[in-house]
Amino acid sequence: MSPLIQVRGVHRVYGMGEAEVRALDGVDLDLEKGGFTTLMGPSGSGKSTMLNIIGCLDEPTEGSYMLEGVEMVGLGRKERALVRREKLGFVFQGFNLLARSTALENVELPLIYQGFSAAERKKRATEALDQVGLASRAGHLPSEMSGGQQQRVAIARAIVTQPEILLADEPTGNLDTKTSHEVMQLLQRLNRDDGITIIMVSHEPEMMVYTDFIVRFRDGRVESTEIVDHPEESSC
Amino acid sequence: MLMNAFRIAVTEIFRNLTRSMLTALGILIGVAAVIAMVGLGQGATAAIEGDLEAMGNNLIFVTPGVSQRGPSPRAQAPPLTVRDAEAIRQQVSHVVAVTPVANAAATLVYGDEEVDTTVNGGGLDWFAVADWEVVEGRKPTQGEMISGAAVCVLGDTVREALFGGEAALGAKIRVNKMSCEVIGLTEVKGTNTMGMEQDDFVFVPIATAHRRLLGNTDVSSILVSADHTSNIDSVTQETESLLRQRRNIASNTSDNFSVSDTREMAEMIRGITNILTAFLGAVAGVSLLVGGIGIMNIMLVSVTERTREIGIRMAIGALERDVLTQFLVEAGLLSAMGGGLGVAMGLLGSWGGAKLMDVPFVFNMPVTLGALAFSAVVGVVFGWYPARKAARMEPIDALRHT
Ligand SMILES: Nc1ncnc2c1ncn2[C@@H]1O[C@H](COP(=O)(O)OP(=O)(O)OP(=O)(O)O)[C@@H](O)[C@H]1O
Ligand SMILES: [Mg+2]
Repeated sequence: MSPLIQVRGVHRVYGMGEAEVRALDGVDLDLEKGGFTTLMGPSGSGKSTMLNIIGCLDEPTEGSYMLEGVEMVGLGRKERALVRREKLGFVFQGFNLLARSTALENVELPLIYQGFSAAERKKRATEALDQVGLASRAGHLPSEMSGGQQQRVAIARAIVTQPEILLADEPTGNLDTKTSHEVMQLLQRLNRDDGITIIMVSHEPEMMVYTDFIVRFRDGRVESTEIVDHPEESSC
Repeated sequence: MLMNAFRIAVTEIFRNLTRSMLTALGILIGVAAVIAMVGLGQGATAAIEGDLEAMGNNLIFVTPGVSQRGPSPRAQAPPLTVRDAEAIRQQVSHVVAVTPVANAAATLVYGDEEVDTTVNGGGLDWFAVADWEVVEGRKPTQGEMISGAAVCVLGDTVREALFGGEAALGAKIRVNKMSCEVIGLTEVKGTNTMGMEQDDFVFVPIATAHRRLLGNTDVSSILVSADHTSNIDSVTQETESLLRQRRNIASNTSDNFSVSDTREMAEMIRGITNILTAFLGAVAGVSLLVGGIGIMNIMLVSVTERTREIGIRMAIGALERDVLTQFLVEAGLLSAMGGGLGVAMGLLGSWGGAKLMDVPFVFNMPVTLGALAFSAVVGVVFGWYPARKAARMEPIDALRHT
């Protein structure tokens, strides 16, 4: 059986001629279903570019990207949007909540585009907020919440559609250490308990302990792939 | 999805209410102008038609000369005569009343009071044809008519100017050099829509006018009253052929007189008001277009401002179609809001204008609904480009936008 994600010979080139930047320069990558992977590497090494391509937000200049055995390169805008809608969830470094919508409304948003009824949306969104421990903040605006709370709302929004893959670009990048650990524990629980495949970009080595695999990038290539060993791990 | 697009649109419109109002102002003014213009135009037309009806019953005018063509044909055409009027009465069917009219300007004097007015010299039928009632005193008798007696009937404006509160009946006044007894007073008709003072005249028998005031026997026009509106055409035609015969006009020569009726005048006036209404409507339409461009402008700004939001929506599952709908609904709603307020303002304006101009207030349902629908369409049409711009964004670029 082919892996969930199979990337082959992917290049992503920005600009032309003199100003050309090879953000990805021949990447091969296999990621299995159910894994929790961290993409690491120095700034500018192409981690975000890789994540965006996996998330069907961006397209490689060259190469192949298969999701569940289906080629994603060359798909039309609409097909890519449908893949995002049906299979993927996103968490961003800057939370990216809609500022004028409450926590509940933010979480409901993906369900609107999936065509759920108002009652069903409310039910599912409330459940998702409950899952991230924020049921009591449903009516709050993002500006009325702490960074950690906002990121948890963003995670609730990403998982409310029960996606197969959760993509997170530096989800703890804007958070303090304590809150970062809380968010990482939440992600780990979603991975372990709900079987959501998670691919995350991170700079912080101390967050690695929550994940299963580490893929190191350097100059647009994969430098190494490691398995994280969890010495005598108790419950979180 | 559409419901949600509406909710989002309403939220966005109210979030920046000042800007939304200013944006919708163009549409508001356009729609208000269309509705007020059309309403007032129709009110004026209705009022003028009412005036024409008040001028007389199924009225037909005969005047010498052809007013439209040639260099002063009036001067060359032979005048009409009292006998022409008599002939029309006797030979044209469906005629209920005929009067020759001879007009003259005159200065009326009573005691110290003096007033300039128009003398209407006419036959007894003048009262029936021109639809005047004598409310005090009497009309001249047949005998007075024939003998050209020095008697007169005053319009209310003239009575007021000469007598004020005093009794007028039986008084002797001077009309130019003629001394004349007031035997009757007419009803008050007031000013008509075109601003014409209808009560400013003095009536004398036409023989009196000819002999004592004018010094000739010219008839400036003949007024004919048909028995029914449906017979106006036949009366017009018979009158025409009768007069051609009486005036010895060869069959290959055109008339040197004209026969017209109030319908023609109504038609002409309606034509003029229609052109005016269309013209003002077009101006209003242009302001609607300008309003539409204003909406396009603001929507473009809004799309740019909300680039990141668009990116987020696309990342979490919005299709191109969803984004397009959202912005189209917002533009349409913004515009329709302007349109709705515009309808209210326009109706208020045309109501107030109608009161001010003393014309009836006409509510035109199709125009109102049309303007409302058109404003929404303007919003959608001009919102199309910004909405498409939003929908066509690459999600990754939109997300990177700061
Ligand atoms: N839209 C773009 N246009 C031009 N160059 C770009 C664009 N996006 C990324 N790059 C370049 O591609 C390279 C890889 O960028 P990428 O964002 O993937 O790095 P990263 O590994 O995520 O770095 P960081 O840890 O700082 O987020 C960088 O050199 C960057 O300057
Ligand atoms: Mg990055």
